[in-house]
Amino acid sequence: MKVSLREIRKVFSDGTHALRGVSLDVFPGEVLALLGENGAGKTTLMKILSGIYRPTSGEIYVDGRRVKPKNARDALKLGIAMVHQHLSLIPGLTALENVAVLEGASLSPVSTELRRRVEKIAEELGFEIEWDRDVEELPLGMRQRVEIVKALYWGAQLLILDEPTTVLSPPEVKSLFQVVKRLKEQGRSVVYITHKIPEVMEIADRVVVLRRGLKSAEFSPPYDAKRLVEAMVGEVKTEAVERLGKPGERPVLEVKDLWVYDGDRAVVQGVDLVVREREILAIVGVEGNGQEHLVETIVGVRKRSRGMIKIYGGYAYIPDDRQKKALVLEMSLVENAIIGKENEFAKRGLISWQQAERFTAKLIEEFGIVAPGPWSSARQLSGGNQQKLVVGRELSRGAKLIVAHQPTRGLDVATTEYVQTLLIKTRNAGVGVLLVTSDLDEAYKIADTIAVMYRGKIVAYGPVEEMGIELVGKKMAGL
Amino acid sequence: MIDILPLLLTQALLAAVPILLASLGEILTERSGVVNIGLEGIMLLGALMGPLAVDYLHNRAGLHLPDTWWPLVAMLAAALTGALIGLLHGYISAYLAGDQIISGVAINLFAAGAVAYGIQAYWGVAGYKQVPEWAKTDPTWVAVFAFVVAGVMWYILFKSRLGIIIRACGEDPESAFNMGVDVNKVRLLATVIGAALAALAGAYLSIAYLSVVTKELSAGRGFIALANVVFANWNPALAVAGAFIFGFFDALSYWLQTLNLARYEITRMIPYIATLLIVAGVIGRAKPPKAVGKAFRRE
Repeated sequence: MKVSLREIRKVFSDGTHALRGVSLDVFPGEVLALLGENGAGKTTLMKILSGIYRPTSGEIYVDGRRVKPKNARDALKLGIAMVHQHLSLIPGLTALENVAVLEGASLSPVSTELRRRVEKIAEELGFEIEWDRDVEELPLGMRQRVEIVKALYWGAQLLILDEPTTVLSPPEVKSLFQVVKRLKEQGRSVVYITHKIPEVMEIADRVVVLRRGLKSAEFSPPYDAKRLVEAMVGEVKTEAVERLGKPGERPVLEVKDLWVYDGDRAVVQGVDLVVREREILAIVGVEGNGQEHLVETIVGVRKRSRGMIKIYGGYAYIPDDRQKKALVLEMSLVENAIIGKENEFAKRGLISWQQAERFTAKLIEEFGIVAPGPWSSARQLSGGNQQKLVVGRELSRGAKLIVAHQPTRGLDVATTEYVQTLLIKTRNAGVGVLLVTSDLDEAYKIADTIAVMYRGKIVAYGPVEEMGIELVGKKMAGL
Repeated sequence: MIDILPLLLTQALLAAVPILLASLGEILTERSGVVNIGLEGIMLLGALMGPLAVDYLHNRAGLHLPDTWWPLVAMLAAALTGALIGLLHGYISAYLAGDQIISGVAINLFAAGAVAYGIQAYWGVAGYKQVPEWAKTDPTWVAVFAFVVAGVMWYILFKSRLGIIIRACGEDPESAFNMGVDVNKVRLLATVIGAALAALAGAYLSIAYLSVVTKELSAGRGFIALANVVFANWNPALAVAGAFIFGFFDALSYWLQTLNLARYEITRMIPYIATLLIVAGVIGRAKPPKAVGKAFRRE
């Protein structure tokens, strides 16, 4: 099956020009990588192809025939399916029911025939799936496999994988690549959306790079990593900031034998760790292994069941979800900038808005936040600028400990670089940083010390020089 | 006490029927993603419209039917009334993306006024009207019907492919839409059927169980049904057990009343206090459909 996109444009209702005229072909039996930064339009383009968004203009052809999919089911009937980054299975339904939802309404139950065929497809791909459990209870990697089986069951000839490795441990990534190869052997096409260069180099037959809603380049193997990056981010200007000096002796955070329960499940099981002055400790692991509970217990959002937490010299907190946990989107930049330290701007219980505005203006300048003005709402900012606002606010607290949870998730390369640089600079100034990340590159790039978390426990812990990627990968997978 | 138990249990069963019917309706509606707190009002309207419709057809329109048919006609009239209110609430909730709580409150307020007025306007009496013998029916068959509905609804929700679609609308309408489901249509239909069942519960009160129409006939049973939905964790099978527990406290309070242990205002509080305690006990453990009460609109 050959799919062609012609001059696709998309303008969202809030006025964002996500795509400015992109044309693209996908040939049968090829793995096409769609490379680009966050916000480049990769996902939007593929959501249009898979029927989730309607294009503002432009045309889609399947084997030369013009098509206009109204929704994902329409697209699937044409043989196009998308496996989303934030997986789109319906919670509250079992894995099998999620496949059967497309059968349509009927008073009869899910047929045994469907179950048999679904199990057969899973077996052929080497998947082990618990079909009768609520998908919410399944690990993310398994949910992804459910989506792939679902797509194949319904006859997908073109499979779109959106940032599929974000939720996977290194061994799972390997087996995903095997699956991609098998799909290709079956004559199906795969569109692989990513911003990770090494993945592209490993599996793509062809690479199309998007930048700011336009196709910026196209490559075939052999690939040159540097040229791929350039096509992705435009000009690369990196101000390399190095970690200076060794970590100090004095601790800014001590955690001893910490246990946290979620209901009756022990999600943090006896964690010990120390963050010292001038040290970045990175806790790595596949998401959902207790990192969130650990972080939120350290900063006091959750209750610990047992154990000790000591923080010396105050802390600042950069949460993993800036929109839900760090900002009040409907409130202005000024209000968001002083949340949690409004007393510093108050006289006799009244806030001095002039002073608050001056402070915000300083943040905007210092951290390069692109905003219509200090009084516009935080919602109007792009994701990267929202994160700069959060990071700026937290770093300006002057705390001795920074707790940063996925501080660069969803940011483009430039902003990621910027945030990482800020963390290193802060560290060099004598502050301790507890960094929780699922991005191994990030950990290796900026951390002094690495700890691996798996099923609520720290399973490996040591200076970055002693923690080889091979070992860390194994530990992340529980091997 | 022991010899009173069989009677008490029978009474509990009969008291459970209206709560069960209304709970089942609400479970269906909420599973599809719409919350209808207007149950109480719909029950009350059903209680009025059943007897009123048969009275009109029999006495004023002069329709001749075998006597055994009249209760059925009353039930049908009530269900139709409920369906109409459900259509309105479903349309507001699904297609207009209106506030479902406000719409539900409006139903309750409207019903409180309309029923009091309806009794006065139609029969010319204030707030209380006996239901004639020929329009009445044995509560047992309605009870059987309610249990059958519970079984059917359990099968549909958890065993059939239709159920998968209904639950998908209540859990994740976005994905359901992308799987080709017409989310708002499913929600509208579920709301219509749910409201019709609540109205049947009302008709049961007036023509089978209490044999009168009054302006306070439902006496909070609609709200108890809402509590039962939470207690049952949105599962029709558990709703049967829940309705029976609530029915038991209802029956118990009537029995205690006959013993003259305390003023009846005190003993009549029992079912409501029991509701509070039971719901307080299950809250936090209940797992509602994730998108319940949230309108679905497409980007």
